[in-house]
Amino acid sequence: MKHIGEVITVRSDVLVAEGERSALPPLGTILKSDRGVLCLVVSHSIDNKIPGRMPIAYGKSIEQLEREQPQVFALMKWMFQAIPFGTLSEGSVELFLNKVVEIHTLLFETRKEERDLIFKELRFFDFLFSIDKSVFPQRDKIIVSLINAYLNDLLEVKEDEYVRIFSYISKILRNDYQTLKYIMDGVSI
Amino acid sequence: MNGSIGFLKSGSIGDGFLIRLNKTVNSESLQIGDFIVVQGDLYDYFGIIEDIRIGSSNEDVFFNPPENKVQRIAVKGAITFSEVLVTPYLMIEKSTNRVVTIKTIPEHFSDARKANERDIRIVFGGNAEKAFHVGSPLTMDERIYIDLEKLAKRNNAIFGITGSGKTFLGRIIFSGLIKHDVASLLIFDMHNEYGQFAKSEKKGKLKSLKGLFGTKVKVFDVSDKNSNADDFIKIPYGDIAAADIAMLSFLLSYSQHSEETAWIINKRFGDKWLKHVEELRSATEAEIEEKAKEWGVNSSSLSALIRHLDKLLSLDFIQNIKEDSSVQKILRYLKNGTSVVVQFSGKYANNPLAYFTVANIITRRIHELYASASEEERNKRIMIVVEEAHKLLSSDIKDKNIFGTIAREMRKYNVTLFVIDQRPSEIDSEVLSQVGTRFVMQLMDEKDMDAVFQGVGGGSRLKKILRTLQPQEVLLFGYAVMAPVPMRVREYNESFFKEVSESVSAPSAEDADELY
Ligand SMILES: Nc1ncnc2c1ncn2[C@@H]1O[C@H](COP(=O)(O)OP(=O)(O)OP(=O)(O)O)[C@@H](O)[C@H]1O
Ligand SMILES: [Mg+2]
Repeated sequence: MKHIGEVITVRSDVLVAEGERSALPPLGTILKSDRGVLCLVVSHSIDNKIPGRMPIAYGKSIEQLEREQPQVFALMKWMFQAIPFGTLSEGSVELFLNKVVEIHTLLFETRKEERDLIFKELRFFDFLFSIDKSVFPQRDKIIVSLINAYLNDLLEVKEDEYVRIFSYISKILRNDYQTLKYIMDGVSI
Repeated sequence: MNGSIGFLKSGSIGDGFLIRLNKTVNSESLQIGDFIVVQGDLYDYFGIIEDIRIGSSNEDVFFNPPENKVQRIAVKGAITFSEVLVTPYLMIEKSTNRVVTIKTIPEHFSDARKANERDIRIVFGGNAEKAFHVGSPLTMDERIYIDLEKLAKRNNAIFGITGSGKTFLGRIIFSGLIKHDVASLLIFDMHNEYGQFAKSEKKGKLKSLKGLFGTKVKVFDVSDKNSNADDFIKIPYGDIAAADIAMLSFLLSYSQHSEETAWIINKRFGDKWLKHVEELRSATEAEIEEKAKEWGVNSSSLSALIRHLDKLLSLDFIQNIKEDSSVQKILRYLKNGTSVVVQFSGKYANNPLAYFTVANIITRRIHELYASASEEERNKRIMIVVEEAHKLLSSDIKDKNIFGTIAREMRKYNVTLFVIDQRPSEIDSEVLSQVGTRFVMQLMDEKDMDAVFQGVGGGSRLKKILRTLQPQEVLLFGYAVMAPVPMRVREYNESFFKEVSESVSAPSAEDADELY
């Protein structure tokens, strides 16, 4: 299986990984490392490969630029940031990080069954709402799309899952009804 | 957890237990008056739902309320919630099933559930030897029993508006008392409902006490029109005292002057006084004036007295005879354990004057005779049943008649009152306080509701339950029951008849089969 990215920076709370142009994982994607570390994609960025190099403006469309100056793209790297939140091992999920993520770790897509396992653990939502919204302003949108993707894939009664998940989220957000309502409204069943 | 409706959130013995409902429990599935058990470690706490409420922990929710059912369910429990307030009454010790009054409370988060059959059986199961099935919890089919022995030891009352089911409940209880030989009843049957037949608004004619118990019940009537009567009531003039008449003043439009005049004549002639007055009914003005002078009374007051007594003297069961043989017969029956129903047929149906005169005089005579009997002879408990008792037990006249005395002295002579009434607020409060067990059915008037709970701990809470009662439902509390019981009175129907008319000692069909 082809990897989605490779970890190039490790901080305690966020990983920075390099991916491929036009193949960056969407926000809210859950990835795993070959050693089972799980992480959630929370932002994207593009940067120079050569330190200190300043890109300049060309005034052309992307397509034109790709044709005429392909080196411009070759000098850039495509990156995403992901927050690690747990580990996956032998069909079970641990919402606790007990492994250090090595630099150059490769990150892969997760499978539906793995994501289902994660969603079974309601504590996963504690993690989601512990993400600092002032640092990652897209947090709530990410959560909405994450839940939507999960419910869309479900075959059984979606209402029950909705109620199960939001009953738990209501407890977390009991003092922030506005956010709760925003998320509930964003999720469709 | 099995049948859990929620958990104990807060509370005290005095203010009740506040139960936070589980989010999956619909508040509409619970009702005021339902029995709830909160499970502690050592005891199960048995109580009654006194109030149901909904609330929220975050008012923001009302600015942008959940849009649909799933959203509403999702936020329930965390942001919105339902709670029930349960008044605890009893504790069932888990290790022994012993039931005691509430003395402590369980810990936070103790599980709450609706009472189940087992709880009801332990609390109202009638372990007593003479337990009698009278009804069921409002929302369950389990049986509620009362201890008839305990009931009969004190005065009792059934209160409720017309049509609430007082007479039917009364008849059920009386059936129990007769079947189990707990007391001899003397029933003053104002509307002729406790003798051979009963009337039902829905079912027409039904069996009543005599129809059910045959010779264990005798029917007396003031009118010989009643073909079901075993005997007839005659009241001799000599049995009526001036005091009796004073008590009937509300029916005779009797004045203070007449009352005084009656006293003077009564004093002068003793038990012959009424006879003397009666003789003047056809007298001329001049003759009356002459008698007035002779007796030392005002002549116009005497004329007024004669006029006022006319209605009474026209009751043809009041006669110029010596012996009150019917009273003697009634007493003999009661002493024997036979119950007596006094009816008012023919022209005396729905005649308050006939009713109250007979009830008052017979009761007084019976009480006199019983009180003067030896203690041995008094071993049968007598329970006197009166309807519309407020007329006899109001504050202004309760001291002037026998019912007030019986109410106060119930235990002295083994004679108790069973009062059936629509207007408890008009009964003297001291008399009310002597009522051991109260069966309160639907009431509408605030004054009446307040009256029935006077002097009752937690009365204001019980009032909430009372307000929810439907016809044929009753809130029962007091001496004979361990906890107040809101209940649906059992059906008075064929299966009831079958149950009570089965002889207590006769072997059942199954036993008989096994014998042969
Ligand atoms: N336990 C019962 N079983 C069957 N029917 C009942 C029962 N209780 C009440 N009813 C029905 O309700 C009607 C009214 O009941 P009941 O005569 O006992 O009212 P009440 O309170 O005595 O009224 P009132 O004050 O007018 O005498 C009855 O005629 C009967 O149809
Ligand atoms: Mg009645």
